[in-house]
Amino acid sequence: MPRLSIITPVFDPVPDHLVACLASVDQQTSGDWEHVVVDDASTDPQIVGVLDSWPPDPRRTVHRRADNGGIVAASNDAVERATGEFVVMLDHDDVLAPEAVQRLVEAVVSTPQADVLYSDHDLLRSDDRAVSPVYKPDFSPERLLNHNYITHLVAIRRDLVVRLGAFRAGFDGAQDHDLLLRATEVARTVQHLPEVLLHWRQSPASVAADIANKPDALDAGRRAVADALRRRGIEGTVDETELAGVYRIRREVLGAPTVSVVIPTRGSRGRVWGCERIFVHHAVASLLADRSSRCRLEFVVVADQPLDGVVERGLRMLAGERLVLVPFDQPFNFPAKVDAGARAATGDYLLILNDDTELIEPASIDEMVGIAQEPDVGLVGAKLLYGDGTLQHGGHVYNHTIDHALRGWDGAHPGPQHLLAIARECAGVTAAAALVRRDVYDEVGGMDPSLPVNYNDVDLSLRVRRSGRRIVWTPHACWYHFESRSAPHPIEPWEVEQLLERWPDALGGDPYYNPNLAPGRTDWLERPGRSGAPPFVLLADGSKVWG
Amino acid sequence: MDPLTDDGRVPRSELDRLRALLGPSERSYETLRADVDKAETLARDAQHELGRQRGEMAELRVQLARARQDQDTFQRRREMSAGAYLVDLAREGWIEVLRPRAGRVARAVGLRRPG
Repeated sequence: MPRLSIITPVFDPVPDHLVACLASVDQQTSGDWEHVVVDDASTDPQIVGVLDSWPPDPRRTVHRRADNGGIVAASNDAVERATGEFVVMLDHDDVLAPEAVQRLVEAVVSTPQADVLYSDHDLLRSDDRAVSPVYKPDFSPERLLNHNYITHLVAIRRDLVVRLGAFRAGFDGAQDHDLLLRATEVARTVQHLPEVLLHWRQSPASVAADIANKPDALDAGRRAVADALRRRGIEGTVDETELAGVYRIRREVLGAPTVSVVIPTRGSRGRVWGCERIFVHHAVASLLADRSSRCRLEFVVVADQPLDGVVERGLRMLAGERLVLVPFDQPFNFPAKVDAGARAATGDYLLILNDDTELIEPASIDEMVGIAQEPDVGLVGAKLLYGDGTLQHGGHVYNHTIDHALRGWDGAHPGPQHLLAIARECAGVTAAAALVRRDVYDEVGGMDPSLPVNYNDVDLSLRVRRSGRRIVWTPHACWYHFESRSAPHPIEPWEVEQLLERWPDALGGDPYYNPNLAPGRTDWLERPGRSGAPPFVLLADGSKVWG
Repeated sequence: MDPLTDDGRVPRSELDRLRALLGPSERSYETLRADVDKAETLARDAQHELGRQRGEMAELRVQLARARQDQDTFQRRREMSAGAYLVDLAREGWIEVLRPRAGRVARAVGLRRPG
């Protein structure tokens, strides 16, 4: 059985909080642990008293630093003294769930190649009630770059921590984010345990309460992410955002690639914001109006025949020599139209785009290409808004249903856990606006015409993921999608059956959702009783007080 | 009071404005274009305001669902005996952990159709 070294740097916490922290280690249901406590020269005599008077346990060692060296120095002292197979980070005021060690050990035994493990966590309120559980996705590297969604509880193989030089000086406050970024780059497997194994203390000045309390930590986090980009050979910039702890990464587009914008169309007209428009004209014109792109655009318009002369003339006027018009004279079949466009396209990237769209965010294509340049990324999706500004597409969720994440929320909302404000991995993305590298599209066999109307993008997404590649959704590429709010294409039972026959396991285990969230929903609603809402307290007189 | 046209149906100033908009000159077209753009912007802003309300409702619906299901769960647990509580936990474990695994195994060996 692997032994875990729980490391706790201590510096002047509230004494009761330290007591709760130490007690939570003692109360573990599994004994395969050692607890390395490093007192970083606490000045509060009560803290010294707590550490001195705590009942001795051969598994716990307390070391005192002569001088206060800060969180990085104290943590590194603890790592040096650790002897277990894994190092588990526990802050001096946080509380482990009783089964935390047991669960981690079980996970290591069942997944021996796991080098980094992390669990869900919740927040510990000032009245010691655990609230606001954070149910995380399985390992999501893009999300980890954009913000430290992992935070607690983390276990990393000790020899890996040592090999990486442990916590780095100069990253105080974001030292854990920095270590996670470095460790996950070389880890064989990063394992997520979908269970709350740590209660993160929410004291008024803590990062748990508000990371903006520690501005130096935000800058350290930004530098940690910038360093991660450098290590990975990604050219780009990192900036802080108005959401504390969330970083905006802008990748450089390498060279001047050609992006073939494949737009299947019937040349339809419709009324948007009170005005009549030919959809495909606006889709093309809005992209041409964006002068910020480094990419060369080629417009491959796959048009039903006969095409209205006004539509065709307008397209030629707008796109000129960049227009490749592909006639399509078969019954409606979205994948077949996209495939016909892909065959005629000459670009390094294909942007599959519905004609009833209009670009909102400048440089959206560069954002998507920047991400798709990474070899292990297969498909990049965009944020799509309805005409009223509400969210249509925030990535797919396959959680015993297939739908868009948080559909109908305010398009400007950052979403639960900031997930609408950050680029992150998704189970799939809609083909209404999706960018794919040409070689990936060809390798996975393009889109499947046997699903002519619905789920062809789900099938494409699943094939891309089966090829071992990631699918990334980014909010920094954004279009209007003037699709009807009600389902424009009713889903037929045979379509569901066909998808399930092909992908029997795909729809119940979305790695970027969480089993603690309610099945059949895509809005991050927890299962009953798991929202962290404190249950009522029953008083002696029978009355209830809600927590 | 704005004077009316000879037929008395619209104010003369409005007729003059419309004539200016529909006139053949480039300036008339630009004025008309600006008018349409302004109307479109106003319509979009109005729809976005509606969208903000809709978005807030969508978020509130999630919070309401959360509150209702938590209330129901805590109420049921409050009324349960210790035995019934254990049975409930076991049922939950079956639904969440064992049944999906059993389903996957059944599908893998062909005992059950997908779905």
